[in-house]
Amino acid sequence: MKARIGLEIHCQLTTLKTKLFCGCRADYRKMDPNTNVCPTCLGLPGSLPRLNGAAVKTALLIAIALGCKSPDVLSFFRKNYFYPDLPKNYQITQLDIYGPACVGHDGQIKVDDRDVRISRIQLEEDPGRIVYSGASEKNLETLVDYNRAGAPLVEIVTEPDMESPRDVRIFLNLMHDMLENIGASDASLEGAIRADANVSLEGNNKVEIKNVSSFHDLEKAVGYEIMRQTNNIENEIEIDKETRQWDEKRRITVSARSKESDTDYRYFLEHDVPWIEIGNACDMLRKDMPESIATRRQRYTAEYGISDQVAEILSSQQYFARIFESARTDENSRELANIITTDLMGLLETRQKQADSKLGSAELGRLVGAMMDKRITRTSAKSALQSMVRDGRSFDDIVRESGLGTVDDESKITELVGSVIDSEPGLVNQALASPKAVHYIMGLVMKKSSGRADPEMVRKAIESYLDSKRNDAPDQ
Amino acid sequence: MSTDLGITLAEYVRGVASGEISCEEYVVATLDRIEKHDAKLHAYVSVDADAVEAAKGVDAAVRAGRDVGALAGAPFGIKDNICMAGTRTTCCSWMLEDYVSPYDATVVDRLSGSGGIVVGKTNMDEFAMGLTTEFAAFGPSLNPWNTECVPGGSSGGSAVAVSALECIASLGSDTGGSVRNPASFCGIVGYKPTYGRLSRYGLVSYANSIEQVGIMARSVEDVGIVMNAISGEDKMDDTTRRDVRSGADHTPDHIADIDGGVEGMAVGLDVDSFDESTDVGSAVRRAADAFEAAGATVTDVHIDHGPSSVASYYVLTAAEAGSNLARYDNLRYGYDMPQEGYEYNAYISRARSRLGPEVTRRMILGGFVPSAGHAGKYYLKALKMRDALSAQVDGVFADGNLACILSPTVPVLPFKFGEKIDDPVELFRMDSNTVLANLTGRPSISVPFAMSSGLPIGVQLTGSLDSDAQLLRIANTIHASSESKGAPQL
Amino acid sequence: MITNDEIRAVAKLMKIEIDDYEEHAEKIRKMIEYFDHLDSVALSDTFQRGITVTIDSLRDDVVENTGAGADLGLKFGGGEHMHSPKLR
Repeated sequence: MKARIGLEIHCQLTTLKTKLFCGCRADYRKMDPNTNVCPTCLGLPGSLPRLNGAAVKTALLIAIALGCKSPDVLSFFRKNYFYPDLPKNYQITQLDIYGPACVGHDGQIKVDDRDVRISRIQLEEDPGRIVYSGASEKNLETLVDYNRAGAPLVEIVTEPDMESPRDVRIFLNLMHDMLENIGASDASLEGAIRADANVSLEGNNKVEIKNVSSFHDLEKAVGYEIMRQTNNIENEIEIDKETRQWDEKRRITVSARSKESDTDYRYFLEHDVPWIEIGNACDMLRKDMPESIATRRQRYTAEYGISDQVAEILSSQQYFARIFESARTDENSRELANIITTDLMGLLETRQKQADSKLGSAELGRLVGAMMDKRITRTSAKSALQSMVRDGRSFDDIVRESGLGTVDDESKITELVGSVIDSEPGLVNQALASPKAVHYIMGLVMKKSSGRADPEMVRKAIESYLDSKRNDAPDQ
Repeated sequence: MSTDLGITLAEYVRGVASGEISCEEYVVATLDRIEKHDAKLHAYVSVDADAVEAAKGVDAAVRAGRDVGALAGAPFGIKDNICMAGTRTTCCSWMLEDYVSPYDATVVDRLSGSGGIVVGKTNMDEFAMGLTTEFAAFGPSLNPWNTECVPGGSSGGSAVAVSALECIASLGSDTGGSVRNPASFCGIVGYKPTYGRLSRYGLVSYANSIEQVGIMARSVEDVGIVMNAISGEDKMDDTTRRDVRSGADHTPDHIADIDGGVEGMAVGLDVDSFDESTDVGSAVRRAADAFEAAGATVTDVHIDHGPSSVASYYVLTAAEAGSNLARYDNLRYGYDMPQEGYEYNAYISRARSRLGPEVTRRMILGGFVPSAGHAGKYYLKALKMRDALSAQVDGVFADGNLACILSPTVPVLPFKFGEKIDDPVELFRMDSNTVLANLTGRPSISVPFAMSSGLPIGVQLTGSLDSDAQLLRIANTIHASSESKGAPQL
Repeated sequence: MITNDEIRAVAKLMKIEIDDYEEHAEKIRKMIEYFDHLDSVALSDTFQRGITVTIDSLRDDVVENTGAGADLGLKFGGGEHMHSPKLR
C-alpha cells in the first residue's frame, strides 16, 4: 500500500538581526532568560507589532527558490489560542483561506526524480520556550523564557508527495542546503529548522507526527508510522485521524491525546500589520538570487569536468563553492575540487571554523598547483593546508620552512626502502606472497619520509627490490 | 480664586506667552477644582500632584524667554487606557488594577514634548466597552450638567473633566463613538480623526481595526492645536504609515484655515438619522439652517443606519476584543494571585473572572462570532458589511460633492443612570450614528450645538478620509453659531 | 439560537469563568439575535484590503532592544524564567 507523506517545516530566518515585529535580537541563543524582550514581543498592553521589512524579503526569497507564486499584496492573520509560551495568546501568522495572502503558494521542487509540491509558505512569529525543571517527573516546574518569542519564522507546507522515509530525508537535506545557499538561514544552529510530518496510507485517515527533535528522528518516526499503519490495516483496525508524538526513548510514536482537535483558532485578519504591496520586490530578489544548487552542480560537471559525486558535495555548500570558484583555473578544477571535498571540508566542518579560517583562495591555488606539478605529495599538502587554515601562512613559506617538498631522488628512495625492510626482514617473504604486505611496506616508507616521498617512485623501488629477491630465490 | 479655568486652550496659550497667565496658578487651580468636585463627579481615576512642579518649570521658561511648546504647560486629562511610563494604566478594570506601564504612548510622548502637562488619568468603561461609564470597574463618572444622568462613554471621564473645568483638554479613544458620544452628552467638542492619523502605540487595544485616539476640548480650534502637536506618522505604529494608494499627508496644519468658513461647501443632511419631532432632531435641523446662513448648501442624503451596520460594528469589535484581551492571563503581569493548586487553564479562567460583566459577555461573543462554525455567518459578513457601507458613503459623498454629512451625535438626550444598562440592544442603538465613521475610517466630530432641559445636544459632522483639516474648519463654523455656551454650574 | 451548552463551550475556549451564568446567557442570546440582522443584507464575495504599504517603508532590520535592562513591570525579572501553572 502506497504511503503519502507531507511535511511542515519551520525554519527560523537566522540571518536576520531582529525579530519579526520588534527590534529585539533574532539570535536569542546563549542569553539569560527573558533578557531579549521588549513591550512588543511580551505583548504588553498598548504595544504594537512593527513588521521587519528584511524578513518579508527573505521569506519571498524562499518562495522564489521553491518555485512558488506570490500574491500582489500580503496580509497577516491571528491564530488565537492560549499557551504559556505565547505572550499575546495569539500568534501572528499568514493564511490563504480568503485568497492568496501568504508569501508563497503553489510551488514545486525536484527531489531525486520526484516532484514535491509546496502548498504554501507563511511568515510568522516563533513562540517563547517552555522548559521543565525539577527534581522528579512529578514535581516539574513549568518555566517560560520569552527570548525566542517573536523570532522570525517561515513555515513551509508540502503536499503529501513523498512516499518513503528516504524521500523525507532527501527532501529535508535539500531544504537545509537550499536555505543556507540563499542566505535565509543557518540551518545548522540548534532549533533553526524543525519539521513535522503527516502520514497516510491510501484511502485511510491522515496522522500528524509532531515533537520530533531532529531530521534523523523524523525519518525514523515516519518509518515507524508507516509500519504501524500497515499493521493496523492488515489487522483491520481503523486508523484514527490524530496527532502522534515521537517518543525518543522508545523509538515509537504515541498518541498525543491532546485536545488540539477541539481548539478553534478563530483565525482573522491582523489589522495592526498593514497589507504589504510586493510591487517589483520579487523581480529584484530574483535578479540577486544566488545560483541554485542544482544549476551549480550541473555547471561543475558540464563545464569543469568534475565527477558527479564530487560536484554534488561541492555545489551544495555555498562556502566551499565560493572558495572553489575563486581558486579555480582551467587546469586545476578537478584537483582543486578533490582537495576541497576530501581535505578542506574535514578541516572546516563547522560554521565557526569556517569563520575563523585564514586560508586565502590564491594560496589554495598555489598548493594545488604544486601538487599537480608533483612538487609536493598529497600527504604533505594536507599538512600544509592545516597550517594555512590555522595560521594563514603562505604556501611557499611553509614548504621552505618545514621542508615539505617531495623527495624524488631515486637513490634516496631506494635507501629509504632498504632501511625499512632491514628493520623488519620478515616482511619480504610476506610481500612476495601477498600484495597487501606491499602496501604495508609502502605505508612504512611514506611514514618514514614524513609523507614527502613520491608514492609512485616508492612503489617502483619496492617492486624492484622484491623482484631482485624473487630472482635470488631458488626454484621450488 | 481669581483664575478663570473656563478659557480655551488657544486663550490659555496666548495668555502664558504674554505673561498674563501663570501656568503654575492655572495648574494649581485645576488641581484644587479636581480636589473639590471630583470626589462626586469621578472624572479621574488617578491624579498626578507632580504636575505643579512641571508647571513651575514652564513659568520659569517663559520668564527666561525659552520655548514652552505649542501647549505651554496646559493641563490635560488622559483616558486610562493610554499608557504613561511609571503610572498606572488600569483600563478601569480590576484585572489591571495595579498595572504600571513601562513606556509612554506616542500621543502622550508628543503631548509632553509640546509642553502639555498631564494632571491625571480619566475614568472609562472597562476596556472602553460601553457608552455610559456604568461599566467602569471603579464606579461611574457623573454628568456635570445633571449628576443623575450618565456622561456618555466610554471616554466619560475625559469628557467630564473638560466640561467641569478639571482640565483644559483631554485625550480619549473612539472605537464606535467613545469620544463623540460623551462629548455630546457633556457639551464639549469631541473629535475622532481619520484612521491612522494618530498613533495607537500605547493605546490599549479593544477593536484595533477601527479605533483611534480622540481629542476632547472646549473649542474646535483647541482640537486643531492638539492635533498639530500629536498627529502624524509614527514608527511605532505601522498603521500610521501613508497608504500607497492615497499618499495622503498625515501631518497637515489643522488650524491654518480653521476660520475659513463654509461658503460654497455642500453639507449632506443625514435625514434618516433623526426624528425632527424630538429635541435632538429639531436641534439638528437648526444646525442645518445655520450652515445655510453661513453660505453652505444643505442637501438631504440617505445613509444606512439600520441595525445591520450596528450589528457589523458589534461583531467586529467582539471578535477583535476577544483576541486583544486574551493576553490578560495574569501570568506576566497583573494582580497577585498565587499559582499553587491551579493547573494552567483553571488558573487563567479563575484570574480572568476579575473581568467585569460587559467585558465577560464581549469575550464570549468574541469567541463565538469568528469561530470556525460561525465566521461565515457573522465575522465575514460583518467585514463585507463594512465594505458595503464604505462604498455607499463614498457614493453619497461623490454624488453630492459633499464636504461632510450632518447628523445628531447620539439620537437621544443624556439619560439617567440605570435606564438602559440592562438592555444591551437598547444600548446598541445609541451607537447608530457614530459607528459609521469608525467602520469606514472617516474623521468625525461632535460639536455642542443646543441645550434641552438643561442637557447638552451635540451635532456630528463626518468628513471624507483625510479631510481632517477641512472638517475642523466646518466644525469651527457651526460651533460659532452654537446655542450652547459656557460651563455647567457645579 | 445559541444554546446554553454552546455558551459554556465558548466560555471555556475563551478561558472565562462565569459566576452569574443565567444573566449573562440571556443578554448574550439577545446580542447574537441582534447580529442576525446581518443576514438581511446582500453582500459581495470579497472584502477590501486595509492600509497598504510598500516593503521598503517597513522597519529596517536594526537591533533596538528597547527592553534590555529596563523595568518592564513584570512578575519576573530579566535573567529569570516566568513561572506558569502546570500544563495538564
